[in-house]
Amino acid sequence: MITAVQKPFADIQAMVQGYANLLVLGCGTCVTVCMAGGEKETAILASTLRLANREKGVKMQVAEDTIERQCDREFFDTVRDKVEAADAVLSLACGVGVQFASEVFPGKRVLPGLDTRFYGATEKQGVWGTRCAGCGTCVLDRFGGVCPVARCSKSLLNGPCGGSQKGMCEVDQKNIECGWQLIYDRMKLLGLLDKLEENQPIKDWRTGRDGGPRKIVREDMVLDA
Amino acid sequence: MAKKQIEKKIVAFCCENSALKAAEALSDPATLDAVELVRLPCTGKAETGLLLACLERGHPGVLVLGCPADNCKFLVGSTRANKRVQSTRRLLKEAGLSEERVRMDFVSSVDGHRLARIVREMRERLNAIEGAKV
Amino acid sequence: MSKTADSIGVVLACGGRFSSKERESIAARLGSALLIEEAFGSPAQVAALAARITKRRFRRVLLAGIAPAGQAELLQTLARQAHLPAAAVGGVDLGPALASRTRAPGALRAIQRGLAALAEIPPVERRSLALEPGVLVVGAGPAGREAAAALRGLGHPVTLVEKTDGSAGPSGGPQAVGLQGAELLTGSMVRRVEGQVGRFAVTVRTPSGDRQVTCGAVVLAAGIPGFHPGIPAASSAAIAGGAADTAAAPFGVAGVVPLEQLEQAVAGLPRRRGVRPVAVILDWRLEETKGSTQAALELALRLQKEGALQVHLLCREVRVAAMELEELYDRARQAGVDIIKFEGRPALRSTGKAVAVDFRDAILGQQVSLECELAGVSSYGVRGDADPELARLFGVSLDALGQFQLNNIHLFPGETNRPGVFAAGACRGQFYLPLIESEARATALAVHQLLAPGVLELELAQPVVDEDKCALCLTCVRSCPHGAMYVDRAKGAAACAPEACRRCGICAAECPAKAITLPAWSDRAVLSQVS
Repeated sequence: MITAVQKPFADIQAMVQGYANLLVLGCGTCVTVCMAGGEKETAILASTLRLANREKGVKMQVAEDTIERQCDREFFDTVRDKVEAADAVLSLACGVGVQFASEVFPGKRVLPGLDTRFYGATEKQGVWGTRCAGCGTCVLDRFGGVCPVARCSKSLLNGPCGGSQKGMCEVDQKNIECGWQLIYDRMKLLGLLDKLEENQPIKDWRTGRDGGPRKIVREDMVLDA
Repeated sequence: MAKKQIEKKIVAFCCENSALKAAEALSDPATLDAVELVRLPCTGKAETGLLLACLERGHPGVLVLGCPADNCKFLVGSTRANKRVQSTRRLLKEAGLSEERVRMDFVSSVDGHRLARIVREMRERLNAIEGAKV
Repeated sequence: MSKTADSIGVVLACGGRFSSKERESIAARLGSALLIEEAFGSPAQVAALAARITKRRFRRVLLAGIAPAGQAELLQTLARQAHLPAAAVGGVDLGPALASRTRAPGALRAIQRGLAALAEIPPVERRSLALEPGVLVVGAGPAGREAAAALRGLGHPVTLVEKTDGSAGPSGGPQAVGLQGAELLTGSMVRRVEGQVGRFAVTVRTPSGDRQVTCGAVVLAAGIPGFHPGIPAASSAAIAGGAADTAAAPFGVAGVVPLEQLEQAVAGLPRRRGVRPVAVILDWRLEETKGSTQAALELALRLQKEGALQVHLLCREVRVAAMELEELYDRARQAGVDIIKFEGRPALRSTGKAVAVDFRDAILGQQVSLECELAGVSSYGVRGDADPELARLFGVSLDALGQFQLNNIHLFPGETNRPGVFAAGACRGQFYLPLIESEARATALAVHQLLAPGVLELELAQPVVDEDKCALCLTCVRSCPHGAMYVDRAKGAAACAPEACRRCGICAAECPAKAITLPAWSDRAVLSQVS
């Protein structure tokens, strides 16, 4: 899922300064699962804002609500009135949801309450780790299911750099595993080590972020004639 | 006759298996008068939102009182509550409030004296905070 | 909802403190829902009140007037005797109202606040769950066999699952003595576990295919790898060899035996001239107790007195803080037992002809190597991890020492965090054979106590999951200490099994989507206790 973390409270406070009516809007999908912007976190943040405002003597109405997702138009219907009544919306969705909320309510100030981080999986409860970087052309078949783009700090495709020590990456020896150590171990387990000797050509990065904004179109699913 | 402003007290979320029994065994009015007792099946049920709601209602401080870890009837309840209270304290600090407004402590059902001391110390800490007089 | 199903009764438990006029005004407002007691508190009064509550069929009761002291206990007792869920009986203190000038009106306000709080709690249904009488015992070592025999004696069908083929070592084969009709599946392992207490569905892979075992409870007696109490010295090496980790369980080294077998091993030594060194090792990985220290000193003394042996007793600390122990220690020293204190962790290795104990001498401050013909290691000091795969299959938590039972008094003697799953023997940290056996019997009794009634009376007060909000994040499934939450695939949301649920509310507090409500303790119900 998309993972995100809440922005530092001081940053949020600075962003919402000056608005008389704020709506904190949570999202019920990815950010609920990674405990950043679901209904519970939304209520906690709204409550904290009210307490902080009271402490500083700031007059601000802080309302809160959560919808199923902020990346599909129809889900905003239930909160349309609340959004229109607010001077600003603090969206606790990922970057996608924040932008989409802005599009669905043009002219409404929508602020991001979260920092979107990566495509990740739940390694164990409370810990999420990067697995995918959205490069657009998946090469996991060549690396035993461990992605060199996402899990190697340098996104190297043809083997580790010299900074790999005891399975850890030189960028952060305590916390970051060497992606190439993981690839090596996995390919060894699968009996496919010889495949690593095949040279990977220069990747075409245009299908990913480096290629600019993209669309996916499924003609058969489009409803208009 | 003007309506007297109701003084808001410290709210104590109490596990019904330990802290609540200790609180009810107290006979000293100073402690009893200083707190509003909230009964819970386990402090594991005391979530951050409820603690903050009490502060929003004007209560100066919130205590979460549960069983010592290896005594918790539900094994991990008081441990989970403690983690939550610690992150609530950090959150309050980030928000410009004193982290001392929320505190967790551990008492057994016969620990009436300890409970009285915890309440007393909480009042002292809160009194030291501007705007949180109890 | 019918009126009787929903009715709340109010008990004015200090009726004697009000004047009859005040009582009338209160009665006028509350009508037939009011019961008046003169005074209240003795066990007989509680029982009589419970009977009246049951007769009047109140589903919820507000006890108005009692002082806060002892209230929680009193409410729980009254609820139990009136066969009501604990949360359905609430209390309110009328002391402040009586002491103030408001009296009856003040009392009424307090009562109404109490009623509002109680009204937040929905009425609770009851259900009876039939309990399967059968028990599955995993592991046919001493703990498993003892538990199986005891359970058979108590009338339960027992299936015993043993990983090894039973031809060597503890299981002793399919016709093992003392199993009394328990079904023994050797060369078998648990593959899948479904269901909850009362009706577990366990898939066991046997040499002839998969078997489904349905049971009401499970006893995990799978031991720890490399540890086998009660084995003749000769075969301990054979069994413990291979995967044995000498750090965890040193019995894989030739000539190293559990301390209980040292005497037997000594008797089995081929005759030779001269004094022969023998080691008695305590504090291998865990601290000894006074009991095991005493046993070790007595053994050392006995062996030394035989005359043909030099006993070296190695330990980290000499635990003799008791009169008899001090005296025993002195006698052992005087008889010639060499008592050595080590630091850190000793190591054992085979030198071909002998066993070498390598350790750092605490007095000399030097590494020393001691060669002995035999070394007896106190089992109390051995530690190892219980099978994590079994733990995962049964949803049982491992404690800080890697054993099946959490160190929490509410679980003693043999319960685990999972209702219906019990643990016995080395896998729960008991290495001393006589205690392994007696604790296994105690666990069997606990299982019997659970299953004997044949039914489990359930209050359906378990958490309710809002299927629309549930994001299937699995937080509740992972967080529930009792393994009561699961994914209901038909509903596409999490759900709670009432037979395993303990109504602690942890799931409701952890849910990031606020999708879970514990009915008697909803946010509104809890906050209604706060002004």
